[in-house]
Order: sequence, then structure tokens, then C-alpha cells
Amino acid sequence: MASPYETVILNLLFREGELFGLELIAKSNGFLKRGTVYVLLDRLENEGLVKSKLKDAPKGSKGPARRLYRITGSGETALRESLAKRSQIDGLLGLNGGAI
Amino acid sequence: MTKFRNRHDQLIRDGEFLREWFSNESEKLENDWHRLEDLPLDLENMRLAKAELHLREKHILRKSNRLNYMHTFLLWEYGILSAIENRIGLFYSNANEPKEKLTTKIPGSSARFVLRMIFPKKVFERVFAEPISDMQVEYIDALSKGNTPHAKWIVARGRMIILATVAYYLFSSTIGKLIRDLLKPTRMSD
Repeated sequence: MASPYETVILNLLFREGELFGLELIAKSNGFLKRGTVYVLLDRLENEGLVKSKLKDAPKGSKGPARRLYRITGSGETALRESLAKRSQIDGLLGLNGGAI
Repeated sequence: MTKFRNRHDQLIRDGEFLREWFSNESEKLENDWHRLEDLPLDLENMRLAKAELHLREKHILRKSNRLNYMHTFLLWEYGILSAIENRIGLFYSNANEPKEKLTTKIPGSSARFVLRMIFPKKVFERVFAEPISDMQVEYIDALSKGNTPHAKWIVARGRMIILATVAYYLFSSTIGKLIRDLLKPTRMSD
């Protein structure tokens, strides 16, 4: 089962499609932190749950090429499993879901 | 500097005085030659007067040659002094002017260099290059809006984030990995 942080990343990528690291942080409403998100994304990429590609900065804006992340098929499966297990745990504990 | 300037002024004054003296003397001699032609002198007195004027002419010529040499020498000295003064002036102006940086490194370039040297290329590009790029993009954005205090804050925060990323990466790739490996059999038994 993926950790809560990993599940949030997978969930956001599943819902939004492709996202940059900063967009993931912004859309998590402060749940993901700048100092940890890229380490988590690297781990997810190593496990084959996420894929990334370098995308050039948009025309007119200055800056280096940025890494754009998207969820893979395995990632979607892992997300479903993780959400199911979490809902089971939440049901056992009588909780109605958290940040995820 | 003042000493050199005074010497320059003196040389210029001397040069002007000598030129004026020489032209006055030459003018006087020429006038005397003209006056001599009009004077009602007999042949002997005319010869004596002409000999006197020739002597004066020779004297002026000698003096003018000497003056020319002296003037050349003064010009030479003036040139040397000017060169020295310019050099000293340049030295003083260089010493007093604040040194400006012609190029400025963007924040994070040193961190990028160091981390690229320490970590494997793949890890650097995936884990550390991104927070550095985030900081640089936000920094440039704040500067382009003229918000320098915010840009400085972005750099300070960016440095902390990079340090936190390094610490978290080292922790998760060593102790964290060990814990995850220990938990794996439990997951399989589930």
C-alpha cells in the first residue's frame, strides 16, 4: 500500500492528468511540501507508478525545461488498491476519509 | 597631484613667455632694418650700423636656437609629466571607484554544480534539479516584477528547501529504504 503522500500524488495525477511539481504542491493545499515532493516522485517513478518527461518553458517565459509528471497504468492500479485499503481502514475506524 | 599641476602650469607660462620674447625681438630687428634704409647715413656709418644689426641678428638667432632647444625640452618634460599625471589619475580613479560586478550568477547555480558532482546524474535530474529550477524561475519572476525583497526571500527559502530535499533523500534512500524493505514481507502476507 502506498503511503498517504504517495497516494495524494497518484490521486492528483489521476484527476488532473499531467502536472508539474509545483502544481502538485499547489493543488494538494499544503499537504505536499517542496522539500519532499521530488523525492517522493522519484521513488514513484522508480517503482513505475509515475512517468516524467522534460518540457521546455512556455514561449515568452524564461526558465529551464521542467519535468512534467503523469500517472502510469500500474500507478492507477496502485492508487485504486491504496484507496480501497484506506477506505477499509477508515470504515473499521469509523472515519469518513481525510486529506486523500 | 597638485605638485604636478603646478609644474604643468609653469611650463605652459614659460613657453608662452619665450615665444612672445622671441617674436618681439625679431620684430624689433626687422623694424630696425627698415628704419636703417630710411636713415640719411653716409656709407661708412651705414656699414657700421649694418654690422651692428647683423651682430644682433646672429645673437637673436643663437638665442632663438637655444630657446627652441629649451622649448623642445620643456615640451618633452611636459609630455612626461602629463603621462605620469594621467597614470596617477587613473590609479586614483580606479582605486576610488566602486568595483562593479559585470556578471551575476543566478542563485542555485553553485548548489546545482555541487549536487551534480555528488549525486548520480539520474538522481540529480529527478530529485535536485527541480527544486533548484523552481527557485530560479520564481526568483526571476519576482525580480522581473521589481519585487526585490520577495526575490531575496525566495532565495533564502529555496536554499532551505534544497537542504531539506538533500536530507530527506539521504534519509529515505538509507534508513527509509531499510524500513520499507523490512515491511515488505508483512505486505506480502496481507
